[in-house]
Amino acid sequence: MTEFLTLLRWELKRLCLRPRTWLPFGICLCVEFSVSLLLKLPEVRATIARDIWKMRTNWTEVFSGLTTATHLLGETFTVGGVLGLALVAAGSVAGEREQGVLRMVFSRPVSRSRLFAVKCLTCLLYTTLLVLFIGASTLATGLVFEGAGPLLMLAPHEGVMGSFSFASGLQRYGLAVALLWFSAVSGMLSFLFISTLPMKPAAAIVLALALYTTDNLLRTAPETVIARPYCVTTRLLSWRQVFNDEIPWARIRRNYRELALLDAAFLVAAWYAFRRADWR
Amino acid sequence: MSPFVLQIRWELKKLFSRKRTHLGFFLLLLAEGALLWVLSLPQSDADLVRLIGKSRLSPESYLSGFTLGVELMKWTSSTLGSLFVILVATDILGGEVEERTYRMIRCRPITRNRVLVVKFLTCLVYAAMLAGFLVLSTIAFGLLFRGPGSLFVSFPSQSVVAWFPPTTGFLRYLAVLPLMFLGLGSVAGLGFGFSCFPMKPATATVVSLGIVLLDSVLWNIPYFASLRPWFLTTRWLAWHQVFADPLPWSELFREAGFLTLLSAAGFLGGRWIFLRREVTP
Repeated sequence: MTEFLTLLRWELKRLCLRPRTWLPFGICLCVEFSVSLLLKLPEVRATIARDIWKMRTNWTEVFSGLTTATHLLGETFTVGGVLGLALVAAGSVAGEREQGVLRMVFSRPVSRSRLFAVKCLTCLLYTTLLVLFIGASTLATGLVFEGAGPLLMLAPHEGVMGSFSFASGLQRYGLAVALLWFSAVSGMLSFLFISTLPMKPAAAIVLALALYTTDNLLRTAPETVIARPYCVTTRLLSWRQVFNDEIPWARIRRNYRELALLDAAFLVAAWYAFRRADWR
Repeated sequence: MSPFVLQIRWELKKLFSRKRTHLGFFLLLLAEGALLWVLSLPQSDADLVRLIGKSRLSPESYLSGFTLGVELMKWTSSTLGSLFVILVATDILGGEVEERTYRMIRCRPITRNRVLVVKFLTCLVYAAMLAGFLVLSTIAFGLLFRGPGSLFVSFPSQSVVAWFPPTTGFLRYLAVLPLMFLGLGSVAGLGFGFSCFPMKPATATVVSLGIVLLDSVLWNIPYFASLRPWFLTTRWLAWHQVFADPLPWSELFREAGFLTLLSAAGFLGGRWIFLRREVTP
C-alpha cells in the first residue's frame, strides 16, 4: 500500500510540474471573463430582457450572478473542462509512451495493472480539482459581475425550466456541480481509453473530440431530433436537470446508471489495452 | 525539378505516410454516415418535408440528394473539418521539433524560412483536399440515398433560404469549394501559428481547439446573435452565402479576403516566433 501511495505521489508531482496541466484553468477563466463581459453589452442585455419579458417575468428580479453562473457552467466546462481532461488523460498514457517515459518506468519492478491504477487515480483527482475549480470560479465570476439574486434557468431544448430563491438556487448549483463531476469522470475515462490505443496524444485528443462532436451534432441538429434520446451527450448533460422546479430523479438516475455502465466498459477496455500494449 | 517543388513533394509524401492524416477522411465518412442514417429515418424526413413545405415547394422534387448533401455539409464542415485541419497543422512543425526530425532537416542547406513555407503550403494542400472531400463525399452520399433533383437550402442563422433547379443547384454546390477551402485554410493558419510556439503538439492542438470551440460556443448562444458578425465562426460559415439568390458578390469577396488575411496572419505570426526561437537538440 505504501508503495502504491509513493507511486501516486510521484505521479501527482509530475502532473503538477507540467505547465499544460494548468492551461485548462486559464482557458476556463478566459471563457468566464469573456462571456461575462459580453453579457454587459447593452444590445445583449436588451435581447435577454426581451426573452425574460416574454415569460412575464421582471428582468431585475431574475437576472443575477447565480443565473449567469448557471448558464456559464456548461459553456465553461465544454470549452475548458473537456479540453483539459483530454489534454491530461491523453498525455498521461499516449504522451508518456511517445516520450519513452513508460519504458523507463517499466524498468522498475512495477506491474502494469498497478501503474494503470495510479494513472487512473491521478486523472480522477485532476478531474475532481478541475470540476471544483470550474464550479467555484464560474459562481465567483457570476457574482462579481452581476451580484447576488434569484436563479432562473431556461434550457428549452433539454426541457429544463426553473426559478429559485438565492439560497435554494445555491443548493441546486452545488448539486449540479456534484453531478457534473460524474459526467466529467465519464469523459475522462473515454479520453484515457483512447490514449491507450497506439496513437499520438494530439491524435487521441482529436479522435475523442470528433466522436463527441458527432454525437453532439446528432443531439442538437433540429433535423435529427429523433436521435436525441440515444446520444451520449444527452446523458452527459443530465446534471442540468437539477435546475427543473421538480428534479426528475428517475431520469437522472437512469442516465447516470447508463453512463456508469459505459464507464466500466471504458475502464476495462483501457486496462486491457494498457496491459497488452507493446511499449517499444 | 526545382528544390522548392522537390521539398513540397517530399513533405506531402511524409504527410500522407502518417496514419493520422487519413484519420480525418475516415472519421468524416463515419460522421456523415451516422448523420445520413438518422436523416433517412421517417421522422427526420417529415421535418425536412415540413421545412420545404413552408416555402410552398413540392417536397417530391426538392427532397433530393443535393438537399440532403447540403444538410450533411452544414453540420460536418465547420466543427469536424476544423478538428482534423488543426490536428495536421499543429503536428506538422511541432511534432517534428519534438521528434527531432527537424534537427535532421536542418543538417541540409535549407533556411528556416523555406522550411516554414514548405510546411505551411503542405497544410494548405491538406485543407484543400479535406474541403474537396467534404463537398464530394456529401454530394455522393446524398445522391446515393436520394438521387438527383432540385436543391433546397435553409440557413436561418445567415438569413439564407433558397431553391434551385438541379443544374444550377449542382453548380452552386461546387462553388462552395473555394470558400470552404479558405475557411479551413484560416484554421490551418491558426494551428500552424501555435505549432511554432515552444510547446508540445498536443498543447498547441488544445490551445487552437480552445479558440475554435470558444468562438463556436459564443456564436451559438442565442443572446449573442447581434454580435455574430464579430465571431470567426461567421467567417468560417461564409460558404453559406454561395447559396444566396442573387449571389452577394461583394460580401463573398470581402469574406474571402478576410479568411486569406487570417490565414496569412497565422503563418506570419508563427514565422515571427519560430525564426527567433531556439530549437534545442
